[in-house]
Order: sequence, then structure tokens, then C-alpha cells
Amino acid sequence: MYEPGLYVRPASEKDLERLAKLIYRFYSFNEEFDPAWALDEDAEAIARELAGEYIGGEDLVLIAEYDNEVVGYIRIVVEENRILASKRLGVIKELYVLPPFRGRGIASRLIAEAQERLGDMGVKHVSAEFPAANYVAERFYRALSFRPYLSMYLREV
Amino acid sequence: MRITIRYGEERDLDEITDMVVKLKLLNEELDPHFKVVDDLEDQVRRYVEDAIRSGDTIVLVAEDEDTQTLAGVIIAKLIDRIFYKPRMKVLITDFYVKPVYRRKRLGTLLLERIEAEASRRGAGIVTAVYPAYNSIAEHFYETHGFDKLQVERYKPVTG
Repeated sequence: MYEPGLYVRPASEKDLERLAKLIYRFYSFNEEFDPAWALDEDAEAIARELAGEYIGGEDLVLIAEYDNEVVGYIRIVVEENRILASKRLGVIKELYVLPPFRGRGIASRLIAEAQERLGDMGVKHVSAEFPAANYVAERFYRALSFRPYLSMYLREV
Repeated sequence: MRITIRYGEERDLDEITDMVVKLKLLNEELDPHFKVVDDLEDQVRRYVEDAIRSGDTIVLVAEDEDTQTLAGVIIAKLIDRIFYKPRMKVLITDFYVKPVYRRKRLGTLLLERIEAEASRRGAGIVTAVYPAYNSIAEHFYETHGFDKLQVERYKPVTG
């Protein structure tokens, strides 16, 4: 089902620099779709800080290695709402695969591996967040049988 | 916010290069056929330098007077369509507005100025080229009255 040479594992200290670059590219791409996602001037440095926080942090952060090269990642936050029967929701906050490695099932493999781990944590649903105008992400998630679940509206203050 | 539209100059080289690099990276995101080269920044810098100096290329920038920084850029070439009337056209090859300045009509301002430049230089039409999967550009040009003109197809060479 998946290409040989692809390996998914939790992020570790050795991934810091590569993960920082992937985080920066994820946000650089998404800022194109809505000015509310426009990046801070120090975004590259902040991405490095975030990479440090992600590694060993509470979120589920998995790395995709392809032929021993880090080419993608996923970050999932588990949100709790005890009034809901499902109780816990895994939210994909960030998912990114470098463009030359697209079309090889790497992103869907990241989601599949993450879902297995979420299942072990008692999470019954997984959702994904991205700018409403990001039609690339929308097409991708729909192809993986995700359905519209939550609407979020915004206006300038 | 006070915006001025003016010609791009040598002193703008760093800022224009940054914006064109972001545009090329966006193209790469939208279609892997636009995989960028390893020395993208150097290539873009040379390209922008040439464009600013060239007599048949128009480089316009939108400058935020409050911050003295550039908010957007448009690069277009004057082309002689030797077989067709009107003979002269202006082809927009690069168009980028920084995300933080979007939804403020800067793109429209730049486009209006390019149309004025085209008229001033004797061009009868303005055209634009962008990746087929760039729906952001597609929507922008459609809402600004651009029709589809020609198609470029792609096939990798093997063996």
C-alpha cells in the first residue's frame, strides 16, 4: 500500500532542524490563503522554538522519513470535552510533506499511524484544521473521507 | 495605511527578491511540476535585477509609506505578437502581494497601473501566466475580467 523506504516515527531531538524547516513551510504555505494567517517577521526563528517545544511535548508529533530523509510531519492535539459522548477529539493542527515527495501516500500514512496511536488513547474521532480557503487541504482531506465538521468565522477587530 | 505604486528600483532588489521567491515556493506547493531549484534565491535575484534594468520589462511595486516597506510586486513583459492583432501585449509573469496586505485592493491597484503602462507603451492587451492549479490567481484574474487565451500542456521527457 505504501512506498518502500517510508518510515513514520515520533519526532526526536535529532529532528530539530528539519522539523523547524517543515513547520515554517507549513505556515508559509497557509499564510497564502488568508491574511489572518500572515506570518510574524521572526517566523523562521519561532518555528525553531516550536520544533523544540513539539519534541518531547504533550502533542502527538510524528515524522515521515523517506530514504532516511525527513520529508514530512504531523502534529495532533487531543482536545477534551466531557459533555460530549466522544469525550476526546484528535485535532490535526499541522500536516506537511515537502512538495517533491507528494503523491507517494506519505501524508495519508502519517494520518494512519497517528490514528493508531490515537485509538490506543481512547480517541474516537480525528479532525483537521486549515484555512477555509486552502483548497489543496480541503481536497486532500475529502479524498480521505473526512467530512466538514466545524465552521469558524473571523473578522478584524 | 498609505500605499504608493511606483517603478521597482535597484534599492528594492532584496525585497522584490523575497516576494518572488515566495511566489515560486507557492507554485511549488500547488504543483510538483514547479519544483524549485536549489539556488532559487540567487536565480530570482538575477532575474529581478535583469527585469529592473530591461527596457521591455515593467516592474511595479506597492510601497507602504508608513513602514517604508514593499507590500507587493508585479513584473510584466512587453511582447510583440508578430502574427496577431493587436501586435503588442503585456504579459504578467510574476505577481505577489504579501499576505498581511491581502484583501486591501493592492492587487487591483497594481493591475490597474499595469494596464495604464500597457496602454502607454502601445499594447492592446494584457495577459497573465500562472500554474494551472493556482486557484488564487485564477479567481483573481477572473474577477478582474480576464478571459482564457491559450493552454500550455505538460509531459515529462523519459529515457
